[in-house]
Amino acid sequence: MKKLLRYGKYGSNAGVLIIAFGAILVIGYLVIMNHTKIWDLTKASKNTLDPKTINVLKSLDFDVTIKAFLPEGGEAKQSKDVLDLYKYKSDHIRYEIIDPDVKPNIAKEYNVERYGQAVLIGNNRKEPVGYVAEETITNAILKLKMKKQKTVYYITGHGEKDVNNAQREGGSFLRDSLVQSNYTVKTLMLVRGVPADADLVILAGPEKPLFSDEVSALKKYLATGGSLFVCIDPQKDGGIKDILSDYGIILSGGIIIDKYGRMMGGDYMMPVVNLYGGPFQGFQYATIFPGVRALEIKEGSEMNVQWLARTSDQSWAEMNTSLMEKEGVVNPDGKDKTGPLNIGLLAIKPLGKDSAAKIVIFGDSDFVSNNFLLVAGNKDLAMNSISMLLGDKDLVIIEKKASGDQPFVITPIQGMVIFWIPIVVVPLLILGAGIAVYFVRRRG
Amino acid sequence: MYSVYKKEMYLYFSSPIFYTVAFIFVLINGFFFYNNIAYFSMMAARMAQYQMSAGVGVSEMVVSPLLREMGMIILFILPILTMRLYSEEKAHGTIELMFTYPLRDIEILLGKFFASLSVVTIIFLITLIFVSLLGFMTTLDWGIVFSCYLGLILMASSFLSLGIFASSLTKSQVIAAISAFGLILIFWIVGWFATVIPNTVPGKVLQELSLLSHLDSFLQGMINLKDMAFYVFFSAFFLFVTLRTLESHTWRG
Repeated sequence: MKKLLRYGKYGSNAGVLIIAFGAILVIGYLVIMNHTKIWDLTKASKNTLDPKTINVLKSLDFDVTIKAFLPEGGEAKQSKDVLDLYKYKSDHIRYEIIDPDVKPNIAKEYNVERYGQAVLIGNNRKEPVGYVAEETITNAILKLKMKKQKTVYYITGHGEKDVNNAQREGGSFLRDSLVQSNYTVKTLMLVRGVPADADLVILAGPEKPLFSDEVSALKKYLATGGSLFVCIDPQKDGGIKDILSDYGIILSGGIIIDKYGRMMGGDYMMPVVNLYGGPFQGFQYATIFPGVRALEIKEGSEMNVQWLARTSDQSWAEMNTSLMEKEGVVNPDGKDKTGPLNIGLLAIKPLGKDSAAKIVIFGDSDFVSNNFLLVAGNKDLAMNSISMLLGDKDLVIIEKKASGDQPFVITPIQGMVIFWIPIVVVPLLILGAGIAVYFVRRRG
Repeated sequence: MYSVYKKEMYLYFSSPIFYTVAFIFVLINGFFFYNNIAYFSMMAARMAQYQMSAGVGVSEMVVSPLLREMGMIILFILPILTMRLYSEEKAHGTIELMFTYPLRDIEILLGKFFASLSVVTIIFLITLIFVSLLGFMTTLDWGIVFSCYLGLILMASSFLSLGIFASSLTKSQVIAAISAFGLILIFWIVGWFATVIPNTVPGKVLQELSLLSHLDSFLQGMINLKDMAFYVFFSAFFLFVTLRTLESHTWRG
């Protein structure tokens, strides 16, 4: 009985001490967790947000919830790492990683079509992004912050991709994507001129050329700092060749053929594009352009023209399209320009201090049709182009941080060293030391 | 404390256990190291072809995975290093003697703890030879290397505190080793349960409790105060519990 009492007394004493100590540690940990500090030791500061992002976060005055749709795994981990950096820098940021396979209804509610997409919610708005990366998230936060809803005018009347057509050849998916990104979309009969509230005009694949009145209306609009997103299919010029030329853009003839970089099962005239430049450097997805023409930057033009997307160096622009129709497969000859060929360009003409006329052009309009918009990274490329044109000076470009290390391929001799020293020499030395110690001890 | 530390260090280096453990550990990691480099070399060649080599370097592709694998292997070998610490004294009856030392329990405990931590650190540093070898062949991001090793040592200290606690419970070294293994494994896999119930409070608690989840930031080249605090607090807690267990000898009679 006495022993039991003693056990009870000391035992409960120890128990209380352990619980108290544990509680202190837990509280301490929670405090540190919410006021943690991170030191980034990498050479290239890979784990640090860009100063541009930090500025955006500093001026954030509403809460932003980020819902990223990813299944458990490596990519979810990567997205989580990026989002953690945002959370660390701002108390306004919260995030959730949602597995779209486990919670399909939530995924559906936010129109998630693909793994990796995310939706930012804040300021009574929603802003979808194609994938989680510093650039997409920061720009999406900026868009949530913007006060006014932007208006996009879509030119009709010349056989453009029809935004009211939900069939394969239509353009309704493009309109839906624009609406999802909080833009107001209106169709436009250009004869009446471009309305004053237009933030962007889209001309997607005119079959017939624009009338001269329409061309001058467009010209006037651009001259007042307008933005134009234009897709011109091969062998067509939409009647705006001269405008484009003024902005340093030349529509080349022919159609691009790429025997290697084509889509699996697709034909030669459907190049897969993996090269991105200018503001799109670091764009993550391949894009597919069914029947695309090349674009050239006019030499000696004082405009600021940058290439956005290019086909591979295996591609060429086939000029002899009638022969191609007759014989099917052709090979490049002396008349054909060889790749890499520009298929997307950005032209900027500064007008005074704060304004500029901007054109983004692609040599194909099928890539924004319902048939191809959701294929590979097409939608992201189109939407990035549009938000770049609309976002004017607010949106930021953040370059993907490269590793501080150099590329490295081992030579056979280095391979030998890496094999022998770690797997044979060092372990044997340890074993030898152990045996030596054993014998010394036995003798001693 | 220092005299206990010295004694334990001597015991470690004069026993075959240390050499066996170090041999196996280094051999396995040497193999992993070679494998990682061969894989990276292949990937680098392939990525250069597709012009997407930006963003991945040797440090992230070879060193971080190597240290992650080391973290996995120490799960199996650290219980072997700690099983002896108190169990042997109990089995030999020297623990009674120990209580009569003019040293406080905490000093003995810390002496043993830091001795085992030093031994583990030495084993880790042997693998640094491999990494340096790579450093001669190409440029390494030594910031990442440093944070990786720091994280691994901190995680190992949590493992050791669990091992020492297990050793203080029993006089059988085998039981001590197995229970240490079990304890570490439990705190290792709680993170897996967390992934089953994401975005919930219990899920988050389990995630925070997981020994492995706090290593990630270190492996990416970051030192996150929160993760550092976790390992230190975790070790401190189990050393404290060990101390209370040892104290119970005095009143259990």
